Amino acid sequence: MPLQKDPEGVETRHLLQAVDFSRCSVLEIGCGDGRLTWRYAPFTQRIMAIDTDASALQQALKTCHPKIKKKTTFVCADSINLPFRYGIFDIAILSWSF
Amino acid sequence: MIDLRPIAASWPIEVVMGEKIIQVGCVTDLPAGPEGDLAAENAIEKANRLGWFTLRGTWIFPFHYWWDSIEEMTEYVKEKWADFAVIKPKVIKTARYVIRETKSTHRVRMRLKMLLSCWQKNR
Repeated sequence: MPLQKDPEGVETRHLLQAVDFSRCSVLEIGCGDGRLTWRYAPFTQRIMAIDTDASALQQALKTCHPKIKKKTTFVCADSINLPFRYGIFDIAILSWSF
Repeated sequence: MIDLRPIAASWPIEVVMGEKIIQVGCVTDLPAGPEGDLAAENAIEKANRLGWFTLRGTWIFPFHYWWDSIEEMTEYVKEKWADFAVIKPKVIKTARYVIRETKSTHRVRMRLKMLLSCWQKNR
């Protein structure tokens, strides 16, 4: 069996208990291959997911569920030079800066 | 703003055999630490100090990485986390001993410590 990360869903439970994602526009900084993104995406309105790792983003695009793909945009960008207008997101997730 | 990340903190390594869980040691944090961890701490501290955000809540919880063998775990740490963590030979030896002695179906896991902080932007 390949490596499993949090099959118990503890992270998801804590995140969804702490944050109300409904009707929100989310910026996820450091999305990687989308592992965390899939956890909250069903509950939110729109997602902009960024990472500097192009190959991880490719993986995210490959494995993204069609329903989530409709509301998610993956962008290769860094958090210092965000290519977005100020104030367009309701929630920013600093994801696993590690 | 949601700050969600692991905290480097000598994460326990466990051999899991059904209901039985045996801790065989811990990951050793290297002095440098993960570069991103320090940068994240500094950034959050600055945002708080400048009054940009107010802390709404903090949670700490475990996050498990699971492998089929201690060898797979060791290889992963060597390949992905070499900058800030290492599994010492003594821990690997202990894990192998436990697995050999119990002669039972097993998996190995690492218990990371996760930090989740929620911050409200100040107007």
